[in-house]
Amino acid sequence: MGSARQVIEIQDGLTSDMAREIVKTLKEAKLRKVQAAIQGDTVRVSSASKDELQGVIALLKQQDYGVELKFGNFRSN
Amino acid sequence: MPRLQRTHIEAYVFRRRSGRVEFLCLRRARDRSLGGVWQPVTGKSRVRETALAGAVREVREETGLSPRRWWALETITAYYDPAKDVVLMLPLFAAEAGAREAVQLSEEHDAHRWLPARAAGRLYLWRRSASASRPCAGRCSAAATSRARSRSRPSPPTRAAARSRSGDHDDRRRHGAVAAPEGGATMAGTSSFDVTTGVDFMEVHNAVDQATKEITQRYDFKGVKATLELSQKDKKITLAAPDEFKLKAMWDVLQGKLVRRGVPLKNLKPGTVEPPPWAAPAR
Repeated sequence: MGSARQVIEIQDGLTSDMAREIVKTLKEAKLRKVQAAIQGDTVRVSSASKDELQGVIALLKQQDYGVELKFGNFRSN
Repeated sequence: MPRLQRTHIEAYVFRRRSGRVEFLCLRRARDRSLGGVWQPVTGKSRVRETALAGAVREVREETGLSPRRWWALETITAYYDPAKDVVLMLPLFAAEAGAREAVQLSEEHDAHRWLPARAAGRLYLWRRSASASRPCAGRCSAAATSRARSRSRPSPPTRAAARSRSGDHDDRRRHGAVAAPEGGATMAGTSSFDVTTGVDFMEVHNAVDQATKEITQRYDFKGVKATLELSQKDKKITLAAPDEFKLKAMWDVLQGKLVRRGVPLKNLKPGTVEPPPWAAPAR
């Protein structure tokens, strides 16, 4: 007996398009002193100023990239 | 004649938080030898493993941390174990962890604390541990000072450095900084974070299990061959049911379970429904 089927794809990690889109958003926002680097399926955002980084998170949360963004691996040197 | 053993290492992990230098103290689990004793990260380096690589591994195993900056301290610790008639010599390392990194203890320890050098020294069992954390406090506050030089007001670590300067602080300044054997290169004085996306497959697995259970118990699915299959490798969930309405009901159940387990639904992209072969247009 045949059956109806539906495949649900799970998005795990940013696609390169999403990563590029995020970098583009940051560039267009003209945030000075903020660098964004694509590292595989993540984007590493770095800056000398933590306030700027907080601004970046706030900005990215307003955007919709079709996936739930996760912010993590916070480091300060 | 006592044997000489050079397998053990000690790593003093510290972090800088609101201008203070805090050291990581671990308490040994009760069922272990020396249960209840507070200590820094300790361990043995393996055969053909350098002491630094061993220290990096032990810190990761015992605390889940992967510090990026490592220092080899200028002194080593030596002590005599009469039970085994062994003289042990331990290279000492200091490592800086991120201010907000969470510690994940192994089975070896049952508690941890971040404490200023002096308090950590009081907590450690051995005097050598207490004295070992002091030079690295001096060392890292020296690093903090050089970086904070532009600030007008002396920050707490600067004052700590001033205190420890009474000793041979200038010598300690010469502790060789060792390049972290792994982890990306970072610029001094920058902060960073990662933006990514993803789901916790453990939770997805649970949700699929729960949904399967609920569906098999549901009255309207009695005697119906309906399956949910998660393939973690392909990152796909495949739903199969005799007709599209059942499929829709299954997807609703699954969504409910996923939401309750905190899996972001945005990351799930339902594909098109393939109708069962008998519903396909006749040729």
